[in-house]
Amino acid sequence: MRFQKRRKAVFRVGLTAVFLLFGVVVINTQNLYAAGDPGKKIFDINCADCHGQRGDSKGFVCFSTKVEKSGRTITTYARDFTAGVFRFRTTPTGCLPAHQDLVDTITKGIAPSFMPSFQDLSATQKDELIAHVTTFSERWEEEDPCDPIPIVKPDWVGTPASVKRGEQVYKEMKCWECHGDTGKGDGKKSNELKDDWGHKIVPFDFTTGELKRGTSPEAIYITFTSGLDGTGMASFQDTLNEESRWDLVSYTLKLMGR
Amino acid sequence: MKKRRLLKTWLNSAVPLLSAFLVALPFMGIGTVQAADVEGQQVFTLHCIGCHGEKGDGKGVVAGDFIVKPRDFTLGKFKFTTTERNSLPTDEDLKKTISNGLPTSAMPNYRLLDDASKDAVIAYIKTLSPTWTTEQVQQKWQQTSVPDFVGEPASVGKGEKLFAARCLMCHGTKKAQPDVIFSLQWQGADACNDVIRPAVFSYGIIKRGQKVEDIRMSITAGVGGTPMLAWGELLSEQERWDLTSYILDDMGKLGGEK
Repeated sequence: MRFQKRRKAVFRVGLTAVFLLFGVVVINTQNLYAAGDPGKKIFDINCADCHGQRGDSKGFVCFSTKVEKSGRTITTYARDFTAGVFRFRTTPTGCLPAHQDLVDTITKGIAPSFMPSFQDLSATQKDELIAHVTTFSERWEEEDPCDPIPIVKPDWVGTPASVKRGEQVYKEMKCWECHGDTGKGDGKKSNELKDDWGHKIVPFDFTTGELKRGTSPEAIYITFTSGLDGTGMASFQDTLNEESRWDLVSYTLKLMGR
Repeated sequence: MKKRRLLKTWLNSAVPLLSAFLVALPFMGIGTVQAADVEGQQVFTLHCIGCHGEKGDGKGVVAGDFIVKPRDFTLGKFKFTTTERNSLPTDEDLKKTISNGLPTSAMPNYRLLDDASKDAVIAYIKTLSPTWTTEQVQQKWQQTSVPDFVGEPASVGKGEKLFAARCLMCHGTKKAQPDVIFSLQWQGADACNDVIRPAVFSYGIIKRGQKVEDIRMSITAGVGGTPMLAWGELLSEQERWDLTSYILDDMGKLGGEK
Protein backbone atom coordinates (compact mmCIF):
# COMPACT_ATOMS: atom_id res chain seq x y z
CA MET A 1 0.00 0.00 0.00
CA ARG A 2 2.73 2.45 1.04
CA PHE A 3 4.81 1.35 -1.90
CA GLN A 4 1.91 2.08 -4.23
CA LYS A 5 1.54 5.61 -2.77
CA ARG A 6 5.20 6.33 -3.31
CA ARG A 7 4.95 5.10 -6.88
CA LYS A 8 2.05 7.46 -7.44
CA ALA A 9 4.05 10.39 -6.03
CA VAL A 10 7.02 9.56 -8.20
CA PHE A 11 4.72 9.34 -11.19
CA ARG A 12 3.22 12.77 -10.43
CA VAL A 13 6.61 14.40 -9.99
CA GLY A 14 7.78 12.81 -13.20
CA LEU A 15 4.72 14.00 -15.10
CA THR A 16 5.20 17.55 -13.83
CA ALA A 17 8.85 17.44 -14.87
CA VAL A 18 7.88 16.30 -18.36
CA PHE A 19 5.37 19.14 -18.71
CA LEU A 20 7.88 21.71 -17.44
CA LEU A 21 10.54 20.43 -19.81
CA PHE A 22 8.10 20.55 -22.70
CA GLY A 23 7.24 24.16 -21.80
CA VAL A 24 10.90 25.14 -21.71
CA VAL A 25 11.49 23.51 -25.08
CA VAL A 26 8.52 25.33 -26.64
CA ILE A 27 9.60 28.72 -25.28
CA ASN A 28 13.18 28.18 -26.41
CA THR A 29 12.29 27.13 -29.93
CA GLN A 30 10.01 30.16 -30.19
CA ASN A 31 12.87 32.42 -29.18
CA LEU A 32 15.18 30.67 -31.58
CA TYR A 33 12.60 31.10 -34.32
CA ALA A 34 12.33 34.83 -33.69
CA ALA A 35 16.09 35.28 -33.54
CA GLY A 36 16.72 33.05 -36.56
CA ASP A 37 14.13 34.71 -38.80
CA PRO A 38 14.49 38.51 -38.58
CA GLY A 39 12.83 38.74 -42.01
CA LYS A 40 9.46 37.85 -40.46
CA LYS A 41 9.07 41.28 -38.89
CA ILE A 42 9.98 43.02 -42.16
CA PHE A 43 7.50 40.80 -43.99
CA ASP A 44 4.69 41.31 -41.47
CA ILE A 45 5.02 45.11 -41.59
CA ASN A 46 5.52 45.60 -45.32
CA CYS A 47 4.19 42.59 -47.20
CA ALA A 48 1.63 40.68 -45.13
CA ASP A 49 -1.38 42.89 -45.89
CA CYS A 50 -1.34 41.73 -49.49
CA HIS A 51 0.66 38.49 -49.40
CA GLY A 52 -0.81 37.26 -46.08
CA GLN A 53 1.12 36.51 -42.89
CA ARG A 54 1.50 32.91 -44.01
CA GLY A 55 2.54 33.97 -47.49
CA ASP A 56 -0.63 32.44 -48.90
CA SER A 57 -1.87 35.68 -50.53
CA LYS A 58 -4.70 35.93 -48.00
CA GLY A 59 -4.05 39.36 -46.53
CA PHE A 60 -6.39 42.29 -45.92
CA VAL A 61 -6.13 43.16 -49.58
CA CYS A 62 -7.99 40.49 -51.51
CA PHE A 63 -7.21 41.71 -55.01
CA SER A 64 -7.06 44.84 -57.11
CA THR A 65 -9.05 45.66 -60.20
CA LYS A 66 -7.64 48.05 -62.75
CA VAL A 67 -9.35 49.34 -65.85
CA GLU A 68 -6.91 49.80 -68.72
CA LYS A 69 -7.19 52.54 -71.34
CA SER A 70 -8.77 50.05 -73.72
CA GLY A 71 -11.58 49.50 -71.19
CA ARG A 72 -10.35 46.04 -70.29
CA THR A 73 -10.40 45.16 -66.57
CA ILE A 74 -7.45 43.40 -65.01
CA THR A 75 -7.79 41.67 -61.64
CA THR A 76 -4.51 41.15 -59.81
CA TYR A 77 -3.83 38.91 -56.83
CA ALA A 78 -0.71 39.11 -54.70
CA ARG A 79 1.73 36.25 -55.27
CA ASP A 80 0.97 33.14 -53.19
CA PHE A 81 4.40 32.10 -51.90
CA THR A 82 3.21 28.74 -50.58
CA ALA A 83 3.24 27.32 -54.11
CA GLY A 84 6.89 28.17 -54.68
CA VAL A 85 6.01 29.23 -58.25
CA PHE A 86 7.37 32.57 -59.45
CA ARG A 87 6.85 34.51 -62.67
CA PHE A 88 9.83 36.79 -62.75
CA ARG A 89 12.93 34.66 -62.94
CA THR A 90 16.17 34.61 -64.91
CA THR A 91 16.22 30.84 -64.39
CA PRO A 92 14.73 28.30 -66.86
CA THR A 93 11.04 27.44 -66.69
CA GLY A 94 10.06 25.17 -63.79
CA CYS A 95 12.99 26.37 -61.66
CA LEU A 96 12.97 28.41 -58.48
CA PRO A 97 14.05 32.02 -59.04
CA ALA A 98 17.64 33.02 -58.38
CA HIS A 99 18.28 34.97 -55.17
CA GLN A 100 19.06 38.03 -57.28
CA ASP A 101 15.69 37.72 -59.09
CA LEU A 102 13.88 38.17 -55.79
CA VAL A 103 16.22 41.00 -54.78
CA ASP A 104 15.40 42.71 -58.11
CA THR A 105 11.62 42.34 -57.66
CA ILE A 106 11.76 43.68 -54.09
CA THR A 107 14.02 46.57 -55.14
CA LYS A 108 12.12 47.63 -58.28
CA GLY A 109 8.62 46.65 -57.26
CA ILE A 110 6.04 45.70 -59.90
CA ALA A 111 4.40 49.02 -60.71
CA PRO A 112 1.63 47.76 -63.05
CA SER A 113 0.34 45.46 -60.31
CA PHE A 114 0.80 48.06 -57.52
CA MET A 115 3.73 46.50 -55.73
CA PRO A 116 5.83 49.46 -54.61
CA SER A 117 9.61 49.55 -54.67
CA PHE A 118 11.27 48.48 -51.44
CA GLN A 119 14.61 49.98 -52.37
CA ASP A 120 14.68 51.55 -48.90
CA LEU A 121 15.44 48.20 -47.28
CA SER A 122 19.14 47.57 -46.79
CA ALA A 123 20.82 44.69 -48.66
CA THR A 124 20.87 42.72 -45.40
CA GLN A 125 17.18 43.38 -44.77
CA LYS A 126 16.34 42.20 -48.28
CA ASP A 127 18.30 39.00 -47.69
CA GLU A 128 16.48 38.46 -44.39
CA LEU A 129 13.15 39.11 -46.09
CA ILE A 130 13.92 36.61 -48.86
CA ALA A 131 15.02 34.05 -46.26
CA HIS A 132 11.57 34.44 -44.66
CA VAL A 133 9.78 34.14 -48.02
CA THR A 134 11.57 30.84 -48.63
CA THR A 135 10.02 29.41 -45.43
CA PHE A 136 6.56 29.51 -47.04
CA SER A 137 7.17 26.68 -49.50
CA GLU A 138 8.92 23.35 -49.01
CA ARG A 139 10.29 23.70 -52.51
CA TRP A 140 13.10 25.84 -51.12
CA GLU A 141 14.26 22.97 -48.90
CA GLU A 142 13.98 20.35 -51.58
CA GLU A 143 15.50 22.23 -54.52
CA ASP A 144 18.17 24.73 -55.35
CA PRO A 145 17.47 27.45 -57.90
CA CYS A 146 18.88 26.65 -61.35
CA ASP A 147 21.65 28.74 -62.88
CA PRO A 148 20.48 32.02 -64.39
CA ILE A 149 20.19 32.18 -68.18
CA PRO A 150 22.98 34.35 -69.64
CA ILE A 151 21.73 37.46 -71.45
CA VAL A 152 23.94 38.92 -74.18
CA LYS A 153 22.09 41.41 -76.34
CA PRO A 154 23.23 41.43 -80.01
CA ASP A 155 23.83 44.84 -81.70
CA TRP A 156 21.18 44.26 -84.32
CA VAL A 157 18.20 44.14 -81.95
CA GLY A 158 15.68 46.76 -83.09
CA THR A 159 16.90 46.98 -86.69
CA PRO A 160 14.16 46.85 -89.37
CA ALA A 161 15.40 43.48 -90.61
CA SER A 162 15.18 42.01 -87.10
CA VAL A 163 11.70 43.53 -86.58
CA LYS A 164 10.57 41.88 -89.82
CA ARG A 165 11.97 38.51 -88.81
CA GLY A 166 10.35 38.97 -85.38
CA GLU A 167 6.97 39.61 -86.98
CA GLN A 168 7.32 36.28 -88.78
CA VAL A 169 8.15 34.53 -85.48
CA TYR A 170 5.10 36.20 -83.86
CA LYS A 171 2.94 34.65 -86.59
CA GLU A 172 4.55 31.21 -86.59
CA MET A 173 4.62 30.81 -82.82
CA LYS A 174 0.96 31.86 -82.69
CA CYS A 175 1.65 34.68 -80.23
CA TRP A 176 -1.42 36.32 -81.80
CA GLU A 177 -3.72 33.63 -80.44
CA CYS A 178 -3.51 35.36 -77.07
CA HIS A 179 -1.81 38.71 -77.68
CA GLY A 180 -3.81 39.57 -80.83
CA ASP A 181 -2.76 40.50 -84.37
CA THR A 182 -1.75 44.00 -83.35
CA GLY A 183 -0.46 43.12 -79.86
CA LYS A 184 -3.43 44.52 -77.98
CA GLY A 185 -3.86 41.39 -75.92
CA ASP A 186 -7.17 40.68 -77.68
CA GLY A 187 -6.43 37.40 -79.45
CA LYS A 188 -9.14 34.78 -79.85
CA LYS A 189 -7.96 32.86 -76.77
CA SER A 190 -7.53 35.96 -74.63
CA ASN A 191 -10.85 35.60 -72.82
CA GLU A 192 -10.42 32.07 -71.59
CA LEU A 193 -7.09 32.27 -69.79
CA LYS A 194 -6.57 31.36 -66.16
CA ASP A 195 -3.44 31.13 -64.08
CA ASP A 196 -2.44 28.09 -62.01
CA TRP A 197 -4.43 29.45 -59.07
CA GLY A 198 -7.61 29.49 -61.19
CA HIS A 199 -7.76 33.29 -61.41
CA LYS A 200 -8.76 34.82 -64.71
CA ILE A 201 -5.81 36.52 -66.37
CA VAL A 202 -5.44 38.53 -69.53
CA PRO A 203 -2.56 38.55 -72.04
CA PHE A 204 -0.34 41.62 -72.08
CA ASP A 205 -1.49 44.54 -74.22
CA PHE A 206 1.77 45.72 -75.80
CA THR A 207 0.29 49.09 -76.74
CA THR A 208 0.14 50.08 -73.05
CA GLY A 209 3.91 49.67 -72.81
CA GLU A 210 3.52 48.84 -69.11
CA LEU A 211 5.55 45.67 -68.82
CA LYS A 212 5.80 44.41 -65.24
CA ARG A 213 9.50 43.71 -65.53
CA GLY A 214 10.26 46.96 -67.31
CA THR A 215 10.70 47.57 -71.01
CA SER A 216 14.42 46.97 -71.48
CA PRO A 217 15.20 44.55 -74.34
CA GLU A 218 16.98 42.30 -71.82
CA ALA A 219 13.86 42.09 -69.62
CA ILE A 220 11.67 41.17 -72.60
CA TYR A 221 14.21 38.61 -73.82
CA ILE A 222 14.31 36.86 -70.45
CA THR A 223 10.50 36.68 -70.37
CA PHE A 224 10.46 34.86 -73.75
CA THR A 225 13.27 32.62 -72.56
CA SER A 226 12.22 31.79 -68.99
CA GLY A 227 8.46 31.97 -69.53
CA LEU A 228 6.14 33.25 -66.81
CA ASP A 229 5.58 30.20 -64.62
CA GLY A 230 2.05 29.84 -63.29
CA THR A 231 0.57 31.51 -66.37
CA GLY A 232 -0.04 30.52 -69.99
CA MET A 233 3.08 32.42 -71.09
CA ALA A 234 5.40 29.61 -72.11
CA SER A 235 9.17 29.48 -72.24
CA PHE A 236 10.60 29.53 -75.78
CA GLN A 237 14.08 28.46 -74.70
CA ASP A 238 13.75 25.10 -76.48
CA THR A 239 11.35 26.12 -79.23
CA LEU A 240 13.18 29.15 -80.62
CA ASN A 241 16.89 29.72 -81.05
CA GLU A 242 18.53 32.71 -79.40
CA GLU A 243 18.45 34.84 -82.57
CA SER A 244 14.72 34.31 -83.08
CA ARG A 245 14.02 35.26 -79.49
CA TRP A 246 15.96 38.52 -79.95
CA ASP A 247 14.05 39.12 -83.21
CA LEU A 248 10.85 38.73 -81.24
CA VAL A 249 12.18 41.33 -78.79
CA SER A 250 12.69 43.70 -81.73
CA TYR A 251 9.13 43.16 -82.93
CA THR A 252 7.51 43.60 -79.50
CA LEU A 253 9.54 46.77 -78.92
CA LYS A 254 7.98 48.04 -82.14
CA LEU A 255 4.49 47.01 -80.94
CA MET A 256 5.15 49.09 -77.82
CA GLY A 257 6.14 52.04 -79.98
CA ARG A 258 9.78 51.98 -78.89
CA MET B 1 -41.34 14.22 5.16
CA LYS B 2 -39.15 12.87 2.45
CA LYS B 3 -40.43 15.53 0.12
CA ARG B 4 -39.56 18.34 2.53
CA ARG B 5 -36.03 17.03 2.99
CA LEU B 6 -35.59 16.98 -0.75
CA LEU B 7 -36.77 20.57 -0.95
CA LYS B 8 -34.37 21.51 1.84
CA THR B 9 -31.39 19.94 0.04
CA TRP B 10 -32.44 21.61 -3.12
CA LEU B 11 -32.68 25.00 -1.43
CA ASN B 12 -29.41 24.40 0.38
CA SER B 13 -27.57 24.02 -2.90
CA ALA B 14 -29.65 26.33 -5.05
CA VAL B 15 -29.60 29.44 -2.87
CA PRO B 16 -25.80 29.78 -2.68
CA LEU B 17 -25.49 28.95 -6.36
CA LEU B 18 -28.09 31.51 -7.36
CA SER B 19 -26.65 34.24 -5.14
CA ALA B 20 -23.15 33.50 -6.46
CA PHE B 21 -24.54 33.78 -9.97
CA LEU B 22 -26.20 37.12 -9.15
CA VAL B 23 -23.01 38.45 -7.59
CA ALA B 24 -21.02 37.30 -10.63
CA LEU B 25 -23.37 38.87 -13.15
CA PRO B 26 -21.83 42.35 -13.16
CA PHE B 27 -18.38 40.79 -13.57
CA MET B 28 -19.64 38.82 -16.55
CA GLY B 29 -20.77 42.08 -18.06
CA ILE B 30 -24.36 40.90 -18.28
CA GLY B 31 -27.28 43.08 -17.32
CA THR B 32 -25.09 46.01 -16.34
CA VAL B 33 -24.39 49.01 -18.47
CA GLN B 34 -22.06 51.60 -17.08
CA ALA B 35 -23.44 55.11 -16.92
CA ALA B 36 -20.90 56.39 -19.43
CA ASP B 37 -21.90 53.70 -21.92
CA VAL B 38 -25.52 54.75 -21.78
CA GLU B 39 -24.67 58.30 -22.71
CA GLY B 40 -22.21 57.08 -25.34
CA GLN B 41 -24.88 54.83 -26.76
CA GLN B 42 -27.26 57.79 -26.94
CA VAL B 43 -24.69 59.81 -28.89
CA PHE B 44 -24.08 56.79 -31.11
CA THR B 45 -27.80 56.31 -31.72
CA LEU B 46 -28.26 59.96 -32.52
CA HIS B 47 -25.32 60.49 -34.87
CA CYS B 48 -23.69 57.23 -35.96
CA ILE B 49 -26.30 54.50 -36.24
CA GLY B 50 -27.50 55.39 -39.76
CA CYS B 51 -24.24 54.32 -41.32
CA HIS B 52 -22.44 52.28 -38.66
CA GLY B 53 -25.56 50.30 -37.74
CA GLU B 54 -27.31 49.37 -34.53
CA LYS B 55 -24.63 46.84 -33.60
CA GLY B 56 -21.82 49.08 -34.82
CA ASP B 57 -21.01 46.54 -37.51
CA GLY B 58 -21.05 49.08 -40.33
CA LYS B 59 -24.34 47.77 -41.68
CA GLY B 60 -26.51 50.83 -41.12
CA VAL B 61 -29.58 51.43 -43.27
CA VAL B 62 -27.79 53.74 -45.69
CA ALA B 63 -24.45 51.92 -45.70
CA GLY B 64 -25.39 49.69 -48.62
CA ASP B 65 -25.24 52.62 -51.02
CA PHE B 66 -21.66 53.53 -50.24
CA ILE B 67 -18.75 52.30 -52.32
CA VAL B 68 -16.38 52.62 -49.37
CA LYS B 69 -18.20 51.00 -46.45
CA PRO B 70 -18.52 52.55 -42.97
CA ARG B 71 -16.15 51.14 -40.35
CA ASP B 72 -17.29 47.91 -38.71
CA PHE B 73 -16.51 48.57 -35.04
CA THR B 74 -17.00 44.93 -34.06
CA LEU B 75 -13.71 44.06 -35.80
CA GLY B 76 -11.65 46.49 -33.74
CA LYS B 77 -9.70 47.58 -36.85
CA PHE B 78 -9.13 51.20 -37.79
CA LYS B 79 -7.57 53.09 -40.66
CA PHE B 80 -6.38 56.41 -39.29
CA THR B 81 -4.15 55.89 -36.29
CA THR B 82 -0.85 57.15 -34.89
CA THR B 83 -0.18 53.69 -33.49
CA GLU B 84 1.42 50.72 -35.22
CA ARG B 85 -0.46 50.16 -38.46
CA ASN B 86 -3.48 47.82 -38.07
CA SER B 87 -3.45 48.12 -34.27
CA LEU B 88 -5.94 50.01 -32.07
CA PRO B 89 -6.03 53.83 -32.29
CA THR B 90 -5.48 56.24 -29.41
CA ASP B 91 -8.44 58.20 -28.02
CA GLU B 92 -6.97 61.29 -29.69
CA ASP B 93 -6.95 59.46 -33.06
CA LEU B 94 -10.63 58.61 -32.72
CA LYS B 95 -11.49 62.08 -31.51
CA LYS B 96 -9.74 63.56 -34.52
CA THR B 97 -11.69 61.38 -36.95
CA ILE B 98 -14.96 62.32 -35.22
CA SER B 99 -14.10 66.03 -35.18
CA ASN B 100 -12.68 66.26 -38.71
CA GLY B 101 -14.73 63.60 -40.41
CA LEU B 102 -13.14 61.83 -43.35
CA PRO B 103 -13.22 64.25 -46.29
CA THR B 104 -14.24 62.72 -49.67
CA SER B 105 -15.99 59.89 -47.80
CA ALA B 106 -19.49 59.77 -46.29
CA MET B 107 -18.13 60.36 -42.77
CA PRO B 108 -19.19 63.90 -41.79
CA ASN B 109 -17.33 66.06 -39.29
CA TYR B 110 -18.73 66.51 -35.80
CA ARG B 111 -16.86 69.69 -35.00
CA LEU B 112 -19.88 71.04 -33.10
CA LEU B 113 -20.31 68.00 -30.89
CA ASP B 114 -19.18 68.80 -27.34
CA ASP B 115 -16.09 67.13 -25.91
CA ALA B 116 -17.98 65.11 -23.30
CA SER B 117 -20.17 63.53 -25.98
CA LYS B 118 -17.11 62.66 -28.07
CA ASP B 119 -15.48 61.02 -25.06
CA ALA B 120 -18.67 59.15 -24.29
CA VAL B 121 -19.14 57.83 -27.81
CA ILE B 122 -15.47 56.78 -27.93
CA ALA B 123 -16.01 54.86 -24.68
CA TYR B 124 -19.07 53.24 -26.27
CA ILE B 125 -17.19 52.30 -29.46
CA LYS B 126 -14.67 50.51 -27.25
CA THR B 127 -17.42 48.22 -25.93
CA LEU B 128 -18.23 47.00 -29.44
CA SER B 129 -15.15 44.85 -30.01
CA PRO B 130 -13.33 42.48 -27.64
CA THR B 131 -10.05 43.65 -29.19
CA TRP B 132 -10.18 46.63 -26.83
CA THR B 133 -9.81 44.30 -23.84
CA THR B 134 -7.06 42.13 -25.31
CA GLU B 135 -4.84 44.65 -27.05
CA GLN B 136 -2.83 47.52 -25.57
CA VAL B 137 -3.09 50.94 -27.20
CA GLN B 138 0.31 52.44 -27.81
CA GLN B 139 1.07 55.57 -29.78
CA LYS B 140 4.01 54.97 -32.09
CA TRP B 141 4.28 58.04 -34.31
CA GLN B 142 4.49 61.55 -32.89
CA GLN B 143 3.20 64.76 -34.43
CA THR B 144 5.98 67.22 -35.21
CA SER B 145 6.02 70.80 -36.40
CA VAL B 146 6.48 71.42 -40.11
CA PRO B 147 10.12 72.23 -41.05
CA ASP B 148 10.77 75.42 -43.05
CA PHE B 149 12.00 73.65 -46.18
CA VAL B 150 8.65 71.92 -46.78
CA GLY B 151 7.13 73.27 -49.99
CA GLU B 152 10.41 74.65 -51.35
CA PRO B 153 11.19 73.65 -54.96
CA ALA B 154 14.26 71.60 -53.94
CA SER B 155 12.17 69.58 -51.49
CA VAL B 156 9.38 69.13 -54.07
CA GLY B 157 11.98 67.83 -56.55
CA LYS B 158 13.39 65.31 -54.07
CA GLY B 159 9.86 64.27 -53.15
CA GLU B 160 8.95 63.68 -56.78
CA LYS B 161 11.87 61.26 -57.17
CA LEU B 162 10.83 59.38 -54.01
CA PHE B 163 7.20 59.35 -55.18
CA ALA B 164 7.99 57.75 -58.55
CA ALA B 165 9.06 54.33 -57.27
CA ARG B 166 6.94 54.08 -54.14
CA CYS B 167 3.61 55.90 -54.64
CA LEU B 168 3.05 56.60 -58.33
CA MET B 169 1.73 53.15 -59.25
CA CYS B 170 -1.34 53.61 -57.06
CA HIS B 171 -1.78 57.38 -56.66
CA GLY B 172 -0.79 58.46 -60.17
CA THR B 173 -0.34 62.12 -61.01
CA LYS B 174 -2.64 64.99 -61.89
CA LYS B 175 -2.31 64.04 -65.54
CA ALA B 176 -2.67 60.29 -65.22
CA GLN B 177 -4.72 58.55 -62.53
CA PRO B 178 -4.70 54.76 -62.55
CA ASP B 179 -8.28 53.52 -62.55
CA VAL B 180 -7.82 51.10 -59.67
CA ILE B 181 -9.92 49.71 -56.85
CA PHE B 182 -8.59 47.49 -54.09
CA SER B 183 -10.96 44.89 -52.67
CA LEU B 184 -10.43 44.47 -48.97
CA GLN B 185 -11.24 41.94 -46.31
CA TRP B 186 -10.71 43.14 -42.78
CA GLN B 187 -9.46 40.53 -40.37
CA GLY B 188 -12.50 38.74 -39.01
CA ALA B 189 -14.73 39.94 -41.83
CA ASP B 190 -16.43 37.15 -43.70
CA ALA B 191 -15.83 38.28 -47.25
CA CYS B 192 -13.99 40.73 -49.47
CA ASN B 193 -16.86 43.18 -49.06
CA ASP B 194 -14.97 46.43 -48.60
CA VAL B 195 -13.17 48.43 -51.25
CA ILE B 196 -10.83 51.38 -51.31
CA ARG B 197 -9.42 53.69 -53.97
CA PRO B 198 -6.00 55.27 -53.50
CA ALA B 199 -6.22 58.94 -52.47
CA VAL B 200 -6.54 61.29 -55.43
CA PHE B 201 -4.34 64.27 -54.52
CA SER B 202 -5.79 66.59 -57.12
CA TYR B 203 -8.94 66.74 -54.96
CA GLY B 204 -6.74 68.95 -52.78
CA ILE B 205 -7.60 67.07 -49.61
CA ILE B 206 -6.80 63.77 -47.92
CA LYS B 207 -8.97 61.83 -45.50
CA ARG B 208 -6.68 62.19 -42.50
CA GLY B 209 -7.04 65.95 -42.35
CA GLN B 210 -6.44 69.38 -43.76
CA LYS B 211 -3.09 70.21 -42.20
CA VAL B 212 0.35 69.77 -43.74
CA GLU B 213 1.26 67.57 -40.79
CA ASP B 214 -1.64 65.24 -41.68
CA ILE B 215 0.02 64.42 -45.01
CA ARG B 216 3.26 63.55 -43.24
CA MET B 217 1.38 61.44 -40.69
CA SER B 218 -0.48 59.48 -43.37
CA ILE B 219 2.82 58.75 -45.12
CA THR B 220 4.43 57.85 -41.81
CA ALA B 221 1.75 55.74 -40.12
CA GLY B 222 0.05 54.42 -43.26
CA VAL B 223 -3.63 53.53 -43.46
CA GLY B 224 -4.70 50.37 -41.64
CA GLY B 225 -6.24 47.50 -43.56
CA THR B 226 -5.37 49.01 -46.94
CA PRO B 227 -2.33 48.71 -49.21
CA MET B 228 -1.05 52.07 -47.87
CA LEU B 229 2.05 51.11 -45.90
CA ALA B 230 3.57 52.85 -42.89
CA TRP B 231 6.46 54.48 -44.73
CA GLY B 232 7.87 55.66 -41.41
CA GLU B 233 9.28 52.13 -41.25
CA LEU B 234 11.26 52.62 -44.45
CA LEU B 235 11.86 56.33 -45.07
CA SER B 236 13.72 58.93 -43.00
CA GLU B 237 11.96 61.93 -41.46
CA GLN B 238 13.56 64.17 -44.10
CA GLU B 239 12.40 61.93 -46.95
CA ARG B 240 8.83 61.90 -45.62
CA TRP B 241 8.77 65.70 -45.44
CA ASP B 242 10.10 65.84 -49.04
CA LEU B 243 7.27 63.54 -50.10
CA THR B 244 4.88 65.85 -48.24
CA SER B 245 6.27 68.77 -50.29
CA TYR B 246 5.63 66.93 -53.54
CA ILE B 247 2.11 65.92 -52.53
CA LEU B 248 1.32 69.52 -51.49
CA ASP B 249 2.44 70.53 -54.97
CA ASP B 250 0.29 67.81 -56.56
CA MET B 251 -2.65 69.02 -54.49
CA GLY B 252 -2.14 72.50 -55.92
CA LYS B 253 -1.39 73.97 -52.49
CA LEU B 254 1.90 75.62 -53.35
CA GLY B 255 0.52 78.18 -55.79
CA GLY B 256 1.97 78.76 -59.25
CA GLU B 257 1.07 76.93 -62.43
CA LYS B 258 1.99 73.30 -62.76
